[in-house]
Amino acid sequence: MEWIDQIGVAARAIFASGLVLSSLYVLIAAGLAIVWNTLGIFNFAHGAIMVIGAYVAWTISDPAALGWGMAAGVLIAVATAAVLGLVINRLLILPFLSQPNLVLITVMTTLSGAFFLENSALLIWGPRIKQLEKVVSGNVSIAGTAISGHEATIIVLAPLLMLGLWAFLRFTWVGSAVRAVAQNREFAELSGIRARAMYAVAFAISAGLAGFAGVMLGAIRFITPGLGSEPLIKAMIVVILGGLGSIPGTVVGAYLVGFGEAASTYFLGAYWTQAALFLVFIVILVIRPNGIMGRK
Amino acid sequence: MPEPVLHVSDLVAGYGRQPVLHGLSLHVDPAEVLGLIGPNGHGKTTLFRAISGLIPAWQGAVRFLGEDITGLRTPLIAERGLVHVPQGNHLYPDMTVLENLHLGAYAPRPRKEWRNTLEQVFALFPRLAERKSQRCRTLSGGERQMVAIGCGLMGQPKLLILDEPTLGLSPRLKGELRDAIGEIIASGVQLIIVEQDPEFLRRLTTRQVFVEEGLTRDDFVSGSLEHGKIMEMYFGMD
Repeated sequence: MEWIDQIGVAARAIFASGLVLSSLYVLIAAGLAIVWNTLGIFNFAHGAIMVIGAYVAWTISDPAALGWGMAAGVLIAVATAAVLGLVINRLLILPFLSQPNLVLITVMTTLSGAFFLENSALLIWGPRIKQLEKVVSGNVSIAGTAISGHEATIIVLAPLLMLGLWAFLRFTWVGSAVRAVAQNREFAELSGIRARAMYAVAFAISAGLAGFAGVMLGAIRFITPGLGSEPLIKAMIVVILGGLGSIPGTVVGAYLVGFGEAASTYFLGAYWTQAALFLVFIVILVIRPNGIMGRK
Repeated sequence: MPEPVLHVSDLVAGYGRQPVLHGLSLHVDPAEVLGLIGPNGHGKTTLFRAISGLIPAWQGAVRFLGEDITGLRTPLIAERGLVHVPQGNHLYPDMTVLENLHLGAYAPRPRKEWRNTLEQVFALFPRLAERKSQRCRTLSGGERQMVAIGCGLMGQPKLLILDEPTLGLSPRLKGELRDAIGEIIASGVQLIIVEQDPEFLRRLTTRQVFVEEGLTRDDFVSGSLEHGKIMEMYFGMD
């Protein structure tokens, strides 16, 4: 029964690589979803924040640069990304908050922010391709497929971070206030909630997650100024698929897209995967225009 | 003469370039319960939005407890204890009743005692206690209005503004809500309330003010608020 073995091999390979991809998409898409949820905009500079996160981690940790070790690299990269998120929020979003066509304006401002950041990265770190050390060395076997310890870390950390995010939004005053501003800004302000501060919180968390995702990605792929653009598109699919702004929907969407991509790469090859992904995406939206867990 | 709790002087505000308030003045003295009445679209809601900083005041000043609050941001005004419950069903639709009420006590001062305040709110509106884990989206109009008033009370207001809380409710619900508002007043909360029923205002409030075309009408002193006169002003009947 050779074909049963073949299916087994395929399933294991898809499972392992799908899990890694899904976990990365969860991290990236959750950040996008939080900002969409609270401000009602898409941050196109999200991918560029990932890039900066990866480069900063490289500068801090790589022996050829500062060489302070990977832990410091991850921490400082996430902190830098969060601060960058605050700056983007302050410069590219807040000035236009009261404009009626906020969504369109911020498409342009965050896109230009993304170009600015990517080209700054090119200017600062140069065109030479870099790669981060793996956060955890060694290999782990999942369902009979060997993956690196680094990838296993991503697989474990992504759901944990989502759990933490959920608990923060659900059980803390500030987290509740972030959700409140998302649902009814005016009513929130009348209760003494500072909407602008909540936007800043949402942006800092979102960018921090992006920075973390960038660091994780930077040890799997090569770091270039364009590192974030392809994952960002996938993450946007995830967010729209999951039902705009819904965090549970985003998690489901991330695992759907991740495993879909892994399966498609295995059977159809990388060349057709993008097209196949978008085809499925469009079909699902035709059936459920508000996404899997979205509501009107 | 003690300083008024709220003092609005010559307030001009509006939307776009169109003024709605044309130099309106109003004051609430200590221990006073103020009732506002007047036709729709003549500036009552605009007045409250300008007082709580949701729209800017173009001219004039608002003083609360002796301090100038003109131009302050809305959350800072709310923190000082001037709590405005807006007209209509303005809640967090995808949160539970409990979460809505909880967030009403967000400001530092009411936050410390939010559990006590919550019990008081539940005592006032027992129906909210029954529905506390229900999403506000699924509530009836009357229940939403109870949540809205409850959120206002959670903020431990020094002055509570209720902008037409009985709007669009059935007569039975209106009666229920009015009883509750009576209890709130009896418990010592100072408030400004908008109502279209002069009889109700006269029973609950200590002074009534008529708002017309963005101004208050001084000739509308307490006691002269008669149904016939209101009908005449609203509908031009004799």
